[in-house]
Amino acid sequence: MSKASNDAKTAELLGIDDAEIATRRSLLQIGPDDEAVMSGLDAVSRARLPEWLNEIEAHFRAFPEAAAALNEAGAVEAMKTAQEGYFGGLTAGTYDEAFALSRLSQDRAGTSSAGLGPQFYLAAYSLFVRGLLHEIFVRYGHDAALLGSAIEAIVKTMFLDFSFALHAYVASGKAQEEQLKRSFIHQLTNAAEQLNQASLNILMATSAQSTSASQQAAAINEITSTINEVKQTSQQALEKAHGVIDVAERSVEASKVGGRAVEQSIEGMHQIKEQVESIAEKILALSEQTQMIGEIIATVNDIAEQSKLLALNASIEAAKAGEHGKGFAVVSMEIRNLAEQSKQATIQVRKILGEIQKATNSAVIVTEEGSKRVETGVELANSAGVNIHQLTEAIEESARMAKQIAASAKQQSIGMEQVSIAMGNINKASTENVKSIKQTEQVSRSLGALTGQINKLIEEFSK
Amino acid sequence: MHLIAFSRGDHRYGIELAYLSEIRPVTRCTPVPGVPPFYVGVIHVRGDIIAVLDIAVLFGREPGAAAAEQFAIVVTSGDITAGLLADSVDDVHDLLPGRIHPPLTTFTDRRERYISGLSQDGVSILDVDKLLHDERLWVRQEPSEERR
Repeated sequence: MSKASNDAKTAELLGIDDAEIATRRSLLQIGPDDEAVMSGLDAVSRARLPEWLNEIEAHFRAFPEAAAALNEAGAVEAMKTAQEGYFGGLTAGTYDEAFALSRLSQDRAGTSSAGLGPQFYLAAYSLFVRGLLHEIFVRYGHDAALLGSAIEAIVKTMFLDFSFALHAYVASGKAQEEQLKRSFIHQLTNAAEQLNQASLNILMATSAQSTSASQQAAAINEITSTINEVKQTSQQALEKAHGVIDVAERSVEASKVGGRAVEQSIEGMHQIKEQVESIAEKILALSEQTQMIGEIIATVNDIAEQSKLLALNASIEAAKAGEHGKGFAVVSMEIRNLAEQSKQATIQVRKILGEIQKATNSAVIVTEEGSKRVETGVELANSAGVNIHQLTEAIEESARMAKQIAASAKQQSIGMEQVSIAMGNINKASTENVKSIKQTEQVSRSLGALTGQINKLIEEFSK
Repeated sequence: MHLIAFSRGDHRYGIELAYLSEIRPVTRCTPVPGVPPFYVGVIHVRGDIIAVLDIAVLFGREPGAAAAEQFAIVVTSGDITAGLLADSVDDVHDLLPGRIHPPLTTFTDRRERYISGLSQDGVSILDVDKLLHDERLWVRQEPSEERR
């Protein structure tokens, strides 16, 4: 939208048309004479205008606000061009609707575009009018009537111009106000939108947080029950380890007793071996003696045989002797019987000796076997002793290990206690966390309600 | 009639006491080469050398296993003395002549010649005269020297 059409719209809005112009002219009593005077001043005004504009500039620079505006690049030239058009246009001499539109559409004495307020406009106007009045006094000072009509025309025209400027200022203020309102509503709408979005985000975040908090609570419960189980297990491990230590100590004692018993049994075995060996030697000696008896018996047998034969020969001789040898025959018969009895006795003795020898032989074999078995027994007892010793060492080792296990179980129990306390703290913290999440949720819901109210207000305000 | 009975192999023999000089154990019998198998060998009897005969071998009977201790029954007939090998010797028997039976007619070999009778308990009574004086049994080398 161009500035001209904007100002035309402004003029229309203000209701400035031919009738309004006519009303204003008649209120200020502006007539054709006045218009003639003003056009008559046009040449003088335009001739002196650059000088006056310099004065205005110099005067403006005394004020920091204006000086800052004029220090902008090209600001002085722009202001002077605008002032030249504005002040130059005042002495046009025709003050109709076109004039009004021109005044409304122009930059008021170059102050509007420089962003300076109406006070600077009036100051610039004042300096211009002072210069113009000075020129009138110089030109019409000799004729009081002429001077008066000129001043009258200038004042009337000036006030007409002011009425337009006043309108422009009012219109400008209204437009600015509208602009401000629109911008305010826009920003407010944006803020409400952002607030709504933020509250939605918070809601989503809190619901996610709430879910994870309940999951966390469940996990904490699981961990707590697991910790309790581990505590029980470590307590059991401790008890078992103590049981193992007790058993191991008793076992060590028992194995020591066993070791002593094995040593005693080895000693006993050695004694048995010695005794068995001495029995074997005695039996061997006995066997030799029975052999000697056998030899003696053989001799006795020989003697019996020879006696028998002698008796036989004697009985033969007795038979040959006939009647005289009969008594001798009886004696020889008795001798022969005795010899036979001796022989039978030797046979029996030999038989008994044979049995004795068999018995001694088997006794010797048995004692040798016994000796060997005793040796085996000694070896077995020795290996049993070694085994018991190793068993003792193994049991002592397991007792040491069980002690270590007991210590570990104790430490584990203590650690689990600490973990349990920590879990309790975490549980409390998460409960509080859940509470605060609930509060946050409530707050974000009330925020949503608030944005709804704001939106309603905006709607009403925008009407 | 007085007899002495002895056993050799599985048979028992009897000899009249009149022929018997002594019974002695055969401790060392020296074998003689080149003689019939019934000559077991020779033994010393108080300075004399006496031939020992095995009746079982002579009669063709089974001699059986030699006993641990054997005896020589020393018999004499006339001027001839010899020993008869025995496994065991019984006591002196007193037999009535009526209890002696003549030898069996089935004896057709050497047994007929040298057995004079049989006792009731089965003892063959040897005829020592015939046995010692049968020249067919002699060993013909220096017989006069041998006989002594």
